[in-house]
Amino acid sequence: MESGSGGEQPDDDDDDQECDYANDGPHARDRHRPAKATPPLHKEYQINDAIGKALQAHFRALAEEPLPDRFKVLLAELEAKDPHDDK
Amino acid sequence: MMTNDDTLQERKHGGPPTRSFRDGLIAEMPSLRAFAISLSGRLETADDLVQETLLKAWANAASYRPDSNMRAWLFTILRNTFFSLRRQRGREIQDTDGIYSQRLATPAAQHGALDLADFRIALAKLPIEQREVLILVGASGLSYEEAAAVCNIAVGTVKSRISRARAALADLLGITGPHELGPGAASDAIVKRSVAGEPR
Repeated sequence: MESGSGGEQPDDDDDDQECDYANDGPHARDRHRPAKATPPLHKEYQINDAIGKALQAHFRALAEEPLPDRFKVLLAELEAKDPHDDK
Repeated sequence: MMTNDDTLQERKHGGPPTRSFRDGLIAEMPSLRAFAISLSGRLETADDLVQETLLKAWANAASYRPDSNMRAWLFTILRNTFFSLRRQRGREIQDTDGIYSQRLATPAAQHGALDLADFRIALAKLPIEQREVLILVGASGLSYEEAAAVCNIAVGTVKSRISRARAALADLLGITGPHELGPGAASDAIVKRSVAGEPR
């Protein structure tokens, strides 16, 4: 839940909990700026991104299915009858 | 269906396939099969399509340019084979109701509107012309130009079909805004479920 004070909260994954910018160089404040300061992505972009990732997950799952042996047998038969150039 | 002997007869004019060609075929088999399943929805049909494609590719190895994209070349052969069979047999070649890929997904949890099982059902409902370009560009990694060549259509047609396909998917999935993608990134949840949570 937001605290109501601007909505900026540290990223949970940020392992640098102490914000002592003075010791981190001139651009330290930019580096420590919370991710939520980034403008929100456009709605359509987010939907397309989700669809894109789902598509890739769908395709990857299919491609990771074990291949039937018939393809290996087929290639072996083709190679036996028509040996490839050894290049 | 071609036989191995037919294939060798057709190879009269070309030299024997190179080792790199053969290795390329082997490397592309998983993606080729995934594309075949996405097109036909039937595992048995998909495997027949892959076998036919391998035979034709072997027979026409001499026409393959080593500097071109073998995946796009193989997908073109498979797609042409699929639509040729579809013309001969009608819709029996494509079974979107019993689509094989839907049986792969058994997500344990729901994290918003987008769920991989729901997504696959929606994907199967798309017209084949939209589904194929979405798979080619959005999943298999082909460029718009390569997808256009595979489907023998203009690049602009690829883009417009993809745009319509995305809109149709969003509609079928009931997504009208990012808030319906669930807390955090729903797409990340989909990917996690796909990688870790599905039975083989």
